[in-house]
Amino acid sequence: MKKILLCCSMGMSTSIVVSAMKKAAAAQGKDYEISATDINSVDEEDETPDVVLVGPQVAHALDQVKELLEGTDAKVAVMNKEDYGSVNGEAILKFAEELAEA
Amino acid sequence: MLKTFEDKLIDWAGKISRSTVLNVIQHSFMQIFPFMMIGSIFALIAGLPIEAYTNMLAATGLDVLLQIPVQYTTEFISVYLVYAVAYNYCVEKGNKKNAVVNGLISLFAFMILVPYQVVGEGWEAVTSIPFTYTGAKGMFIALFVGFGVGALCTTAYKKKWTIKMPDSVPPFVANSFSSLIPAFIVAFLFLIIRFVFSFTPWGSVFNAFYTLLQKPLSVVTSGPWGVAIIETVSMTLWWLGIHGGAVTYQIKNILFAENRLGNLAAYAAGEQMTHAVTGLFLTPGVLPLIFMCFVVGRSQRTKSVTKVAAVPAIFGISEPINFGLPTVLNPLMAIPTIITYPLAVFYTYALNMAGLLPYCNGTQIRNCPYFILAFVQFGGFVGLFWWIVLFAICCAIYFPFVKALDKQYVKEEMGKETNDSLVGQNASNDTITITCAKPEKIVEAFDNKEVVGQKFAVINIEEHSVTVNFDSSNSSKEEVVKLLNKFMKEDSYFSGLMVQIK
Repeated sequence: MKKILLCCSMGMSTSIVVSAMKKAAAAQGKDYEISATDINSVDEEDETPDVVLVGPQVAHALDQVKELLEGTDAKVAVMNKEDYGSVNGEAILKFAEELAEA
Repeated sequence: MLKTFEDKLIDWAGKISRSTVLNVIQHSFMQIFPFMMIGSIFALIAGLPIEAYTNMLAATGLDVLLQIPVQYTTEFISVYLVYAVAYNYCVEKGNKKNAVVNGLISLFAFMILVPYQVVGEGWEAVTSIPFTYTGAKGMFIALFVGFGVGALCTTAYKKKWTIKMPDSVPPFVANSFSSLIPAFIVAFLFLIIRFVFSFTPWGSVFNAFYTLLQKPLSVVTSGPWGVAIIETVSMTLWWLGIHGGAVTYQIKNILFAENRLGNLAAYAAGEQMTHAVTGLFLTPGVLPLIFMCFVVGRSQRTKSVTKVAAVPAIFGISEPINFGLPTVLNPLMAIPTIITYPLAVFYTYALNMAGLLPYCNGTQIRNCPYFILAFVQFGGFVGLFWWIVLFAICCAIYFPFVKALDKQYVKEEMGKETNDSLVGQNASNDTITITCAKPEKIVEAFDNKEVVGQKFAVINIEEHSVTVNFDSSNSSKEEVVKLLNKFMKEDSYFSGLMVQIK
């Protein structure tokens, strides 16, 4: 896995989670590209992400995100509310890794 | 019961947020937001209520100059909107190739409808397009024209109503004809609409729409109830864990555009603002909640969440506290989460009516801390003062709820500690902790596998360690640790890593 993309309504609250995940990845010596965007722009990345994580507050947009990524290998899932709220970068990173391998 | 209700609501919110209409509106408003922001900033610069400063502006002629960006944003917003709506509609409907040209066609259609005047005669005749309907008053027409032209052009494209060029014509040339037929249809159609409406008592489509649709809406937009209801819905959605603003923000934006932009233009021109209700109000955000967590929080959970959530909350990002504390689907937090917003609406309205607070000047700045917004939107320090009072009121509302929640967490944490120490004592004989830089490899090698004649199961994974347990009835922990140490040294993978076994 190389690239993880997080998305929410405008990519703001996810950007906080992204910095926590980057910190966690750096501490584990892992070199991932992690970034945040809004739910309507997930298909506008230069390089298709391996994993796309959707913020729990926009869980209703999951199908919409999946539709946008149809035909790519990206795996899409909604993040856990508790981990998201406590900005637990480590747990969400682990979730992304598990998702990539699943 | 609550779970299925939540699922249903998520389904419902999903359906709404996937709807073409809302998506197009949301995208379009996002794209024209820079203009709203430019209008706001220039209005603020032009309208600073300091006499010496305004005199200076008037003396140098800068006041006229500063009006120009305000004029071309607040009084011209529908022109940008109509293009954006048609463009986004085409993109949404899989007609991205023609989105730009269709956007332009919609702009053309919109301008056909705008009534213009000819002033003067002969050589001196000047044709002027009034700004009357290109601003907020034309917003509904802009939406209709944008969607209408977008739909018409997309249908034309899908049904292939194009002029067929012979094969020998280069594709580049042939493509330039592909929008010709829809463009002509639009031209005739909108000319007819304009012509027909010129015989009605309203004189123009704009006036008709404005009188028949937008004016009656003022029942909703002139008092505090409309905003209060929208905010209640929005906060209820937030409490359910759904991004409430994403759904309700656009509705508010359209409904209150005329009032908001009207005040903004008046403010910039140094005139009296006339709209008490602009959809904007002194907003508490989640700051009172954060502050109360900070003041009364004794539990680890409250403290750690407050620490992470405070800075985002200042900039209006409430997800960390909402999901972390959580307020989401937390029955205890439902009341304060939902009522503080409508309360703030009525509070602002009451102050406006009592003449204690100037009307909102309609500036919109994204992700600006709410107390700064109060200062900018509501007349400086007066606004800030009343915001602080509101903050204090909201803190008082949150206080008992946060206190009760925190008490509950303290209890849970104490219970957990005693549990943990019990588990530690009982389990120590059949659990082994392996510390290693690659815990995932340990899990791979040990979980439900047989190593050194023992079957292991992973019971806990930390950042750099894994705790496994085994059946201690046949062999003691010491023996197993010894065997494992030997195994690690001999193993081709683990021998290269620092592995500690306890």
